[in-house]
Amino acid sequence: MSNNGIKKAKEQVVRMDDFVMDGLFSLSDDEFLQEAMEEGVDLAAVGDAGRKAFERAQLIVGKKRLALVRQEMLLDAKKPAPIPKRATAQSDMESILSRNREAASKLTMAARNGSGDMQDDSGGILADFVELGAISRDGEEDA
Amino acid sequence: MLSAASEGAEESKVVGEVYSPDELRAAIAEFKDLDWLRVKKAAIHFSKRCRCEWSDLQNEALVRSLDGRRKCPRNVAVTTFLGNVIRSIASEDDGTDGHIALSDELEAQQNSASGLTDLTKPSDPAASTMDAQKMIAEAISAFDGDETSAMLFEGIVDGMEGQELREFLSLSQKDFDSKRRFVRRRLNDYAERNPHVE
Repeated sequence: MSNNGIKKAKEQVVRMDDFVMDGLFSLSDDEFLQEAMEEGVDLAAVGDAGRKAFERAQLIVGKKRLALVRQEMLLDAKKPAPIPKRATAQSDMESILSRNREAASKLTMAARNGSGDMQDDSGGILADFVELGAISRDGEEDA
Repeated sequence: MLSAASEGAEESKVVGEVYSPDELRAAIAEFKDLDWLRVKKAAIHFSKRCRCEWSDLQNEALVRSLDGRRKCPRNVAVTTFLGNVIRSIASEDDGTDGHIALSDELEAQQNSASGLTDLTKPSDPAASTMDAQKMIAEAISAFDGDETSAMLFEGIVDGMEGQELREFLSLSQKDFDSKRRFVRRRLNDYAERNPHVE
């Protein structure tokens, strides 16, 4: 078939669709209602089915969003904690802790567990401070 | 001081040219029974195109609208927008199964105007053409020998304008309007009774 024939057939279908769409969506509510009554359409049933489809669609979209959030949380949990340059960061951390002795006592795992040494938990506290932005990420060591 | 018009323009700039998914959700939640009937009829008409159930096509259009993949311009009625999303989804397949793609002109128009961008061209134009011809022939057969309706339909799909077509058919304005409406309803009715292309 020639290119003209292909083009013509496609254009005819597009015009048919334009015609149907124009009729469906530009008719006034009164005219459309009259047609529906003439056709014996159960309007209430159509409306109910539409609203149920809408509820289902909302549920699907909600589930998709939840799955995305879960996926992001999993990815975040798998991300290795930043490792700052030990000497600079250690000094930054001690400076922060020395200014906040009370907070320091609450922060350490040793305090939470009532045992252990603060030195044991310093890696975790460092990572938390970097995460919070209290200690710069600049100069992070490669993991 | 800003005029009312410029205030309106400022406001529309702030809120954007398209509805947010939440605004769209709120608008669809307000649909009346008649709005759902319009959307259903569009889904029935286009379900032939993608060989799927009209309800699946309608559902897919709702999901894509609510999750933000399809964006509704503020100057378009939400029912019309959903009809366009349905039309667009029905035209998405790659053509190897014989779907009809929208014209390049309509693709460009939808790409720019309403964000309906997932349209693809058929990979086998000949197969699509066969389907296009079959669909037009099928539609003409729906008029059951009503020559005037069939000619009016053929005139419409050949791009004849209203006045030219009316004079060609020697119909009064009233009879012409009535016949146009009959043709459109017959097409809707035929699609409803014959959901799939053979």
